[in-house]
Amino acid sequence: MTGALEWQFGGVLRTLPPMAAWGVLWVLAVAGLFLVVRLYRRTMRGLPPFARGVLTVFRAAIVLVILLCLANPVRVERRKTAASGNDALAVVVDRSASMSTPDYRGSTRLADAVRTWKRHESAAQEAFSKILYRRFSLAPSPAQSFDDAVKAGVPGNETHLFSSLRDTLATSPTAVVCLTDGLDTTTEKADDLVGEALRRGVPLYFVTGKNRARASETLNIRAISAPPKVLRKTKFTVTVLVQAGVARDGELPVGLWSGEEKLAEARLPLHAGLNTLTWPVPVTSAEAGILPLEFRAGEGDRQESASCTTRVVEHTDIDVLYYQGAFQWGYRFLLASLHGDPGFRLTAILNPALQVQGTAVPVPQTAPRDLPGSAEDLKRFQIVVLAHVFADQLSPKQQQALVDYAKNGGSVLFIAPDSQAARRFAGTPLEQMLPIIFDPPKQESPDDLAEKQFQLHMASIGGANNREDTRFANSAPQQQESPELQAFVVPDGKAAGSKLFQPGPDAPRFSEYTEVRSVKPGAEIIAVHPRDRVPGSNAPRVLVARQQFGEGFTAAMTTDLLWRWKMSLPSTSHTSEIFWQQLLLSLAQPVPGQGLRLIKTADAARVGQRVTIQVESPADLRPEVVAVSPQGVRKPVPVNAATEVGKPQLAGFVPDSEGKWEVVAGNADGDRARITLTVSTRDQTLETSNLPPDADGLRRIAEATGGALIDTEDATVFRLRAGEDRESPLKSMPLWNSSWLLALLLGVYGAELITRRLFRLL
Amino acid sequence: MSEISREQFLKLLAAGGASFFGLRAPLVAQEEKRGPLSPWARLKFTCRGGDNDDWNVHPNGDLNLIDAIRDQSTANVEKRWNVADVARLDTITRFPFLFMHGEMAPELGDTDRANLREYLLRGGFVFAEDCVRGKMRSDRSGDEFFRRMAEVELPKILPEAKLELLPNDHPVFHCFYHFNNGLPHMQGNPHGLHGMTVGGRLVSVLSPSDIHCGWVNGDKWFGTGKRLEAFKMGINIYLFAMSGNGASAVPENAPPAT
Repeated sequence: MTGALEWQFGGVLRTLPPMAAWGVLWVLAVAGLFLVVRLYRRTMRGLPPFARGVLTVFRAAIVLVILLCLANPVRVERRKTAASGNDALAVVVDRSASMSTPDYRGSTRLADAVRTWKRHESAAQEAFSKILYRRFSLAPSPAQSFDDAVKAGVPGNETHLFSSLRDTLATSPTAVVCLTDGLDTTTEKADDLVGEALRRGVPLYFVTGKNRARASETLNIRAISAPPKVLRKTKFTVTVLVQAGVARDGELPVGLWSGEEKLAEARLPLHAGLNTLTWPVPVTSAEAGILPLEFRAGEGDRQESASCTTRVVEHTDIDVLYYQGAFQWGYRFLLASLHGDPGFRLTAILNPALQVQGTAVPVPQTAPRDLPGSAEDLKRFQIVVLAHVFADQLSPKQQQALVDYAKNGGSVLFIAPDSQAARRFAGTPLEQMLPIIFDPPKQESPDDLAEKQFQLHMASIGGANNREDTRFANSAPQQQESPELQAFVVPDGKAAGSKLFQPGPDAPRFSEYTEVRSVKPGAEIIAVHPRDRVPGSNAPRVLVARQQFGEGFTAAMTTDLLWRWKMSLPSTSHTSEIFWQQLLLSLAQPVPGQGLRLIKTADAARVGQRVTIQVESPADLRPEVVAVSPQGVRKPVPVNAATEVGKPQLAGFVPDSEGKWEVVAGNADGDRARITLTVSTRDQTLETSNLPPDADGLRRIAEATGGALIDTEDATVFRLRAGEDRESPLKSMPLWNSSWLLALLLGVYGAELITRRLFRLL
Repeated sequence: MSEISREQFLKLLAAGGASFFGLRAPLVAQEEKRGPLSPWARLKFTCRGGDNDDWNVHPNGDLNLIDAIRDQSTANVEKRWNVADVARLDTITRFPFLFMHGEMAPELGDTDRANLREYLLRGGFVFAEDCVRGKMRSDRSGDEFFRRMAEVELPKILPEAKLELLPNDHPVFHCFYHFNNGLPHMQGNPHGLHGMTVGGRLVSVLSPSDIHCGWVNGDKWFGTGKRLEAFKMGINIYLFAMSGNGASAVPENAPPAT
């Protein structure tokens, strides 16, 4: 391993070229040294020359080290590893049907890819000490030679490209070359493959094959996912997975319906080739009952649809993790507000003293002692409330855990601390997921000295004096200030807030709030300040806002925990309880799991061939499945029980006519699911539809991993590599954070102090 | 080496530089108290014979406790001695915690009692304590305030509530500091700490032991050990009230008080 050193400066020097930055540093160093000599001279007037020299050197060294720290040079280390001689190149050949289907001239994509690869093979042999061959359709298998990989066996009916490449990466090659057209007939995404390649430091190269076969278009709804149960008037996400194969770039119209009501629509962009698209749709539930959801993709004869149902319920159990930055009264009143609804289970992590966590929980043995540092540990809570926490209380790991938790479907309610403290969240992972942007801090009011003076006075006279006590007590009410309570206001033109609170006299009231500059684009404003406006924009200050973040929600509330409002209401009023319960309900994510759902196991169906449908259903309910022919004939479809716990049930039937079939499922609880199925007389699958090779997608994957798309005769890709050293990622280390520099500075500083003492200057 | 930010590093350097000149470095001074402000208030009430000057005994004791709470816990208690008049509901509902202290027997009117009832039902908390020897006008029984509160006033304020002696394993004795032997006693008759519960929620505690006087000049009056105990118990009561309905678990790493 060899090391290389570069210098990167911080602060104002960052923008300067290194030479200029060094120049500025030299000028400052000379000026500093001049000042040290000049200013120190008078102090050392009485000392002998040797002592003067020693002290001046120490002081100058301190100035120079401080200057170095201020310049913030960063040592950048590049680790290089020489080629070892054990370099192995894995050449993987896609042997699926799409690669072997001939065009009208009898040419296949595989033959074209082989031709391109042959031009590069000799360069690869020079660059790598050995080449290993593999072929795949479903899973990769080793081959003796390139010819063996290309010719042996028969083409497969599916392409598991990404999983096969991941399997190949597990054999620890130095690089991977894959001859493929980029088709992957599973729903797997390329991101996992890229991540695995980056983690292993293995570049991926692709060789594409082309031919002139005429492409036919396909459209296939793979799955529609909706939670089985949601709370009334809450937001949840319906996710649709659709595969569309097209010959040229275009758009796919999609829509989500509930009965006759269109909930959402979009036009999803398509590129030439196979597109696996995920469309998440936020949906707001209505009143309790069965909510039908139908997804439609495409237009006219080419329209496909799939439907399912979600049950909207009045109540459900909600586990809330409450974490507060400092002891405060808000917790007592929030607890009391949720006490009335047994559906809420609150686990609280209190911070009674610095470095001390207390836990207030209904079931102490299962409660975390501190905010968990992994999203997995947070998963059992539907909502995490961060009440007036401070940026330095949460480690980067805890903050990242919260981000991951929200991305994966959790909800985070952030109750902002004061403006000063909120500002310190700038640039943290937590800030990035919140729906608001904070304002710079304001000056705090000075401490009240009257109390302190009285306290000191009383201490000086023994602690007690009846006359002084009475005088102080009588004057105290005049000094007292009563905080003004101000009401939440619904933003102009928006009715979102009214779902959570009643505008007007019953609206929540607060006394303290953190100034927020704005909300992030896409965030929903629930409440704003009645009077305060953001300088310059005249927009009201935001008090409550929320947004979708990944599959979960994040919300920010910039006021206190509203305990003064609760105390101002008659004890018979439940307005405060209702507000808190509604706010948390609106954030609570649906219970995990899936209701009744039908999933196609193959991308095409043929007359006379068995069609298998995967049936996902609540364990205790046996669904009834019916296949409806294009002529309207209903055919019961038997459902085979799952062979293992957790495995899906399968339903199968044989279509006897061409056209659009429907498969409909229902159970005793009123859940319904439906999918459409196009049945043809020809064997037309994604493999045989001749979709254009996905060269752009392959190029993106290759370039992301440090490889390349090999689609030309230019054979420099591997030639350049031969004899080159491999570089690992950069490693940088700020000098000011190194122990030796700190030790040097403290050592010189200490030495100067000791020397000054020695020479009686201290 | 533990992680240190550039900002912290430069602050340390600046502090070192400031020491050259014998300056107190504000950059590394104690960090400001953080968190939402929590108020403290003394309840103003009338005592036996219409006395209006017993409720305000030794206010500096309250201020000393506020200092102790601020120093030893994360609670940002406002350094202000507020007065809440029991005759006016709007003044008492501004405070979630009321300290009621006196040596003479309180004589509350119907309005006062109704106000206190409403206050407690809204979620407020009252810490009532017998001063035993304050302005030296009690009946010398050593528990005049305590007896009147326990036998007359509290039952009239909340007839449906239960007033009972709190056991030594009650969270109020363990929510911050551990008091394995229950309430520390300064002076008077040691009846122990009593609590009043409504609907499973502790809304008020009544003390006969005058821990407040421990806050005033405990060193001289009761000795240093007692003074420390008095502060710790005061902190426990305030934090217990903040932590809700008694579901507060013991922080394992908190130091024991006794």
